[in-house]
Amino acid sequence: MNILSAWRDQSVTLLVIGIGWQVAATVLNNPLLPTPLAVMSLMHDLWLQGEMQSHLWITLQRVLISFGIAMFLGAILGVLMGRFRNLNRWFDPFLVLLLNIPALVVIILLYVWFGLVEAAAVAAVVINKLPNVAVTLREGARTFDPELEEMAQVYHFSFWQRVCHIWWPQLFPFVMVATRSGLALIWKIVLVVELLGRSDGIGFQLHLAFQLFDVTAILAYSFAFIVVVQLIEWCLLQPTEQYAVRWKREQNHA
Amino acid sequence: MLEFHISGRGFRRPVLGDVGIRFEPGESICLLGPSGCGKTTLLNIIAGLDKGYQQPIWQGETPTLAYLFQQPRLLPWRTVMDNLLLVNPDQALALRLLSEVGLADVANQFPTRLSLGMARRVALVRCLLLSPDLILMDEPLVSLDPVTARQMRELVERLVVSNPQRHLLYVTHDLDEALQIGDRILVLGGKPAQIVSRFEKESAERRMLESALGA
Repeated sequence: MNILSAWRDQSVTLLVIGIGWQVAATVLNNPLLPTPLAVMSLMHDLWLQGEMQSHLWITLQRVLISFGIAMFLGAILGVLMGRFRNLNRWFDPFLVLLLNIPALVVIILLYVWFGLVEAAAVAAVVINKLPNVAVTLREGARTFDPELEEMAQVYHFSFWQRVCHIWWPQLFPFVMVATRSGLALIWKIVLVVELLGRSDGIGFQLHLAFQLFDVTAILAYSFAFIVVVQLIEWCLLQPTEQYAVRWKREQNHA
Repeated sequence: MLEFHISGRGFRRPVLGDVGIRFEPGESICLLGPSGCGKTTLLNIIAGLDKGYQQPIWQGETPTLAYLFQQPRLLPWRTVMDNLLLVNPDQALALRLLSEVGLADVANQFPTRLSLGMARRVALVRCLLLSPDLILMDEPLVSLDPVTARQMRELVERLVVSNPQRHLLYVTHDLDEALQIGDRILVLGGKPAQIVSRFEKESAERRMLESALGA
């Protein structure tokens, strides 16, 4: 019932926005504000031509690859920094530096140094995302329950048993936070990377549309990717989370 | 026979002084003392969990230890059975012990759904799955209602105290409990804490009786 009513409320919000937009665009009647129906029909046409899928797929690949690398390296760095105070002291200034470098600066520098190549593009995204992951998982590693560590020691848990059964479950909520904020952040950075130095992907298409002031195409490509990210949330993240926290349901005592 | 010794030397403010305990074969010893006197610290040192202290020195071989913590410390995200299999992969043995403590039907449930009494019994099974020579127990009856506490005590007596293979070091602040469980009672006190008196169960019971009658 809760899920249904949540869906209903969300659809109402979306519908109100859509109708408001449609009315405003119809009244203004200006190509710089296309109607939602025009945007959707262009999305449909691009899909039939095959344009949409190929660029979506290319961008999605870049998102997933850089996301994977950033999560993996950021998680290791963050957990180690959370567990070892000395390591934290050495790496913390480095992390502060990375957190505060503007995404655009990293992208430009890497393109200048390494050329307009795929590796530079992916590396630029990874460098932008990695410090967020590390900071989030450092917090996670700091909340590890010392009582469970003692239990694991007394009962002779192996290193991998600790990783899989003690540390990972405690990190999981933090990994989910990093994943959610990560997907949202990364795909936006990937678009900039593509716009500045790649000749395919959604970012490149936006670049072309920008030169033609083709607002309909800009909105069509952006909405397509928003839909993709939302599908990942519904079909991948939420079911994973539901499964992983099933032990929390119907608790008898704290 | 088991015997160990720990030393509080080399410390600024040791909670514990020198403590040595020697177990007769299969003996159950209750460690009695007021709250905060260092009973749990002693168990932690014996289990090698207190990094500040030197490891206990054992006469002869170091025994296999199991530790029943005051909080059950089960992994909340693993089912009861998975919690047990992590300690010992013998599923048949785990099931047999679970049914001995009356919990065979919760094997596939998550510990978050168990009451404290049930979770303690699962933790007791986890101890036994190590086939330990010595079990350390930290107030396993505390915060249980009288019926559940009695059930738990009987399980400890049946599965640990009456088993001649197993030695038990049982920490409590409750004299009646100590008298029921222990073959021998050691009293911890002072600062730094040491064993201030020790008595056999029979003499203890007699003394209790005498003081009751003499009053």
